[in-house]
Amino acid sequence: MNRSKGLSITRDHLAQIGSIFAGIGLLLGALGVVWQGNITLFISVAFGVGILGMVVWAFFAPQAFKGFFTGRQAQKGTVSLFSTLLLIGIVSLAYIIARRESLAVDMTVDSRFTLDEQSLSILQGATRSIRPIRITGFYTPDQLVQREVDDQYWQLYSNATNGFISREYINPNAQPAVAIPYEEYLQFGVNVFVSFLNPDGTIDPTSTVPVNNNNSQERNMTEAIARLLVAGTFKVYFERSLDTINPIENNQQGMSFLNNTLRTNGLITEPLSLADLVQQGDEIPQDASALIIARPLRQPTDAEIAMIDRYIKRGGALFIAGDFSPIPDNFMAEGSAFNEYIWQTFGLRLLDAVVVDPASSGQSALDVLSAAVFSENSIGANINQQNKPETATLFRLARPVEVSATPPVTNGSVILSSPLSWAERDTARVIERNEYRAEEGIDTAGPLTLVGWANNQATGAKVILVGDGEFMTNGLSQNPQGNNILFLDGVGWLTGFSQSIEFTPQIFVTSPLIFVGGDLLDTIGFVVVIVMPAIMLLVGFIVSLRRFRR
Amino acid sequence: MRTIWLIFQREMASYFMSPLAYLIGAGFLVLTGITFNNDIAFAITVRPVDPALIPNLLTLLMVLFAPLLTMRLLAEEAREGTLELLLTSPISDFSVVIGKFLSAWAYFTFLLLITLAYQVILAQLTTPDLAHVAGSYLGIWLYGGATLAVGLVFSALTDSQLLSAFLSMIALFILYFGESVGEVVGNIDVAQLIFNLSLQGHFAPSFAVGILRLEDVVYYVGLMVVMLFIAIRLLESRRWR
Repeated sequence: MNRSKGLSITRDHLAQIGSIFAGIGLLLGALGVVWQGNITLFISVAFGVGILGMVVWAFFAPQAFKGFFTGRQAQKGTVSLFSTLLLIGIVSLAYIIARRESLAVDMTVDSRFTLDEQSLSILQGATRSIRPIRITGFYTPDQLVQREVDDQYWQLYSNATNGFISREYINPNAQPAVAIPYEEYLQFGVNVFVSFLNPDGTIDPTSTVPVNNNNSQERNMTEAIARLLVAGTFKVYFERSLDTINPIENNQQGMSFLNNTLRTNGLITEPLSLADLVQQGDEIPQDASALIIARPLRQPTDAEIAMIDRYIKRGGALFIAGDFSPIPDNFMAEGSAFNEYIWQTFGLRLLDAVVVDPASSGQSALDVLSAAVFSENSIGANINQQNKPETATLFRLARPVEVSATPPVTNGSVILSSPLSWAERDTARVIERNEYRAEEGIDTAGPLTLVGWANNQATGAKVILVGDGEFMTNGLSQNPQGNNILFLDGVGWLTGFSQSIEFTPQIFVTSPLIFVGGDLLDTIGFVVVIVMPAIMLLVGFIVSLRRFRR
Repeated sequence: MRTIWLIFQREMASYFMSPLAYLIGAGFLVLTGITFNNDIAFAITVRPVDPALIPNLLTLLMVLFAPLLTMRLLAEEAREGTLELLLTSPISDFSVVIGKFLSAWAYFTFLLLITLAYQVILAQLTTPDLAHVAGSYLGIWLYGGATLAVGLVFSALTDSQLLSAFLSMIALFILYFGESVGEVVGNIDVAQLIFNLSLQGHFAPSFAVGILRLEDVVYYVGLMVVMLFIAIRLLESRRWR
């Protein structure tokens, strides 16, 4: 008997290695040909390795090589090969069936891979939609694990709607033309979208809603589907005849950013002229979910106020942003008809003063930051978030809003200035000399309301009154973020859009690890890194010692 | 069954009598212990501890440990000449292979159970997701079984332990890194096919994130069945080669 001792490599070993490489190379080559239908570089290399392996095998063990292909070895080998292939076939079949069945159990205590009741309810509504919905994901080949994990979420949506929501995955490298319309999102890492399908099965690009595909997959996907479902059902009009900010203009003084953001969220926006409507004897359109009056420079006429009143009486919604201006008959000046109308109807009005806040301000005390926010409704829910200073609002030369203590409808404040602030009545001094000081008996002491809201629950009429208009311009609406949050959440509340897509955040049972002190961490480290392996070694030592003694 | 049990007992005894098994066990615990300790330090007040932390680490460690645990099973017997005695005894090839495989798997299970001590420590500090932990441990248990079965094939193929370990490590590396094939293969369908054949492709997107999928269980059990069948055929081939 030829026994190899130690680490010596024999001719047989080399022949064995050669035979293994021959088998693997030829098998991969053959599979490659079957899969791709032609000879690629990979297949050529696989065949090359296989042939080289056979040469090595034949060179170092010619008898074994010959015996493999002839005689008893060939017969037995063929039986073994075919029985193995048969078993592989059976196992593959079982695997394919299991894969098609998609049987999966969510093992997480937080039910992260299970749709909750809210999602299921929204999906039930989705199946009543006229057009089917498609989830489109863009994944490159190096994102296969992510695709596989995401697919398990999206599959839940497909299953819950019996395939009404379908899934499609696109490799943007292989199909760059398909990816082009999504390029603006893809470059920021947003790679999943939901869209309605056209009758011919193609995606309707105008309906596409991006999905923030982070850790909260369920929340984000359900919200995106809800947005898709309500898209086009809410229409917001921008008033233009009162010399308001232009929602199309994209310079610093324009308001294109907020307008475009509303559109991206699925709301329809249109300009509207109160003056033209009065002239033509028309009314504010029935489909107006909200009317935005952004920093007007003139007072509305009595006829225009009457038209607004008729709109309000049928449950209309107003977003009014009135700026401070030194001109004599400023928009919503105290005692003016429109200011009085809003006061009588909603218990809110703008005051002829400038808010000065030395405690919560930007570059000067006239740049007022949101010091306190009421989150009794969704308007202020995302303003002044903890540890996110960028979510504060910033108003320059803001006017205070008076909130009636005995209002005709439900009303309240959204944003307040700090207790150290005051409403400076001597506005001429502020404008001409940039001077301000609190005068007891003349100026109103803070905290002052900067944004107020009111809701007539009988008619459904709503209003948001902001003591600043400049915050909506392109120059200020993105910096700080709180400014656009106020506008978007405000419009969401006025139109009912927020309620349509509202989705309660998932509550997780598992919590971040919290314990006090480094001593405990050191003890744990000592036990798991030193003690446990040492015990294992000690046991091994004792066993070896006893064995040696025997 | 009785012969399988006999082989199993014999192999288990040799595992626990061998200093190498304790060395492997100690190395295994050092690596898992360091990983666990580091993760706790990073997780404080920031996030829950990853329930699949240790199983995730073991997916890579098993590429190294499985060949070490299996290299001697048949190769050593062949080198020492005891395999011929075994084959001439009234014990079937099936019993030999299955008995040896089960012993290796049982030893791996023993090591795995020791790492549950980390979960006991965690339970004193926070609320771990025990169902997720159980799912990921089930996954790595099956994963470990599959890697040991692959290692056993190479142990049956050669009478050199080193060669057996070397070849099974290469095979396991290929099966492990099949998950990253997308980084080198541009065709996503081919990449997906290779991904579905890889060991990690059936662990990372499912057991690791808290999902128990039938297809993954079938994959690991199927891989074990096929590999053990090949090992039996290879052992049997010694009679007619």
